[in-house]
Amino acid sequence: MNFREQTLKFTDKKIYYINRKTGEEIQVMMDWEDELMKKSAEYVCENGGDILEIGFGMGISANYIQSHNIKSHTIIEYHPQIYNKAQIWAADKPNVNLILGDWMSSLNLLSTYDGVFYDTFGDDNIKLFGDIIKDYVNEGANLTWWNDCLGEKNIFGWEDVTYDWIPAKPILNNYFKSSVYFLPKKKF
Amino acid sequence: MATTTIYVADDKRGTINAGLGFTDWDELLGETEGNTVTSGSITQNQFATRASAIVGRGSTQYRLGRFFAFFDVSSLTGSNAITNAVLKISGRAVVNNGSIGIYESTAFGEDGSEGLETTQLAEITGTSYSSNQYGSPGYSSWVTGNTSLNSFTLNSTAIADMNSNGYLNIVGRNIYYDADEEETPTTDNYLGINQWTASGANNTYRPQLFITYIPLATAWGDKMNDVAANSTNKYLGRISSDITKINNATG
Repeated sequence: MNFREQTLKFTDKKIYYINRKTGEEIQVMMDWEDELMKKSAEYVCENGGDILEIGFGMGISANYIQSHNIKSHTIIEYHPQIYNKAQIWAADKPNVNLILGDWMSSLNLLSTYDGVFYDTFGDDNIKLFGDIIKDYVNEGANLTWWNDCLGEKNIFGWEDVTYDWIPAKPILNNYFKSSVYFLPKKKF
Repeated sequence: MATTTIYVADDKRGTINAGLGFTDWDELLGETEGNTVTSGSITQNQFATRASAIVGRGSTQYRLGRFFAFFDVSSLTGSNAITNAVLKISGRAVVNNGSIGIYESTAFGEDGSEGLETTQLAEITGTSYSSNQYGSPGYSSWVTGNTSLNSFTLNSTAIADMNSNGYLNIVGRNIYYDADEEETPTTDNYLGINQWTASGANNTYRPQLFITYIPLATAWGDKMNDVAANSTNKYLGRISSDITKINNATG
């Protein structure tokens, strides 16, 4: 089943759903990631300017991005339940541009950006992202993404990525287990 | 010949699950440590064997599940020779290309001295213990339910190992993606078993070994005190038909 069709459950600690076929709890995002989201936001906002965030999740990174001195904050959210929450969150934030949909289908709504944070769930087009995003960033833009690789490597095949080693303390979950998060830093 | 059934102990069977954070299937196959163990009081092992691609947060991650079981047959092998053995397992659902083949393992401290730990994920040798294979694609149909058992006739290697070691140490693996390493999975492929506990209502459907054996004395039944059977009609070199008197008594 497509992620968009999953019925999500929200708590203060996490967003999750139950896989109907297996009965497993699948976490979409959890609050233990707070520090990782903070560091990610710091990097993408380093240049200030226009920021693109793909995937709103629990809004943790969005809050950190808003705490920086930026010009605009464009958010693409794929799941309608999360989008509804993002709408409420954005109501008092005039520099936020909220888009419902997947990033591939939203390209015609985008501009170019000084910072990009890519953090999606169940994205069928993830392997295309590395090539396509090049056309949507300004020179010197900072890009990072949710990196579940256990080491200094990336799925986009970029060789000029550097990594910050961030201590991580994940509680029991089904998507990340390492005590180190390798925060990827790609500069264009 | 005699037969007996040996049931697996609750702490001597279970699945080691691995894959958290693995975005490369080949790297996962080379991993030595899993994330969790499905053993002890857990009865319904849905992911007994698993070889899966999971789409979720970030990039595609993979999941690997291997089912381990240890049977102590030392009570038999001291004075008997095992001649045949069938491993029987109660099945749960097969999803997509879920499957199971039976291979040699060195988990449980190899000789059963340890419980099942996540660090034993790679304690496998690759030696096949049975030509029976169940699941998809193209293997025998895996029977599910509490009362029907799936049978793996163990091969001569497994029989020999049982007779020399006094135990059977096995691992069940997905055949196509894990054991044979044919390709990287693209969906969630798994096969389940009912691994019931000794105290549970369905304890007779625990994973079990149906063993045929013969006493070692019988195996040497053509000799008594090193005298070959075809010689026992002779006494001191005389054939019995020639003996008419014993100690002067008339025959």
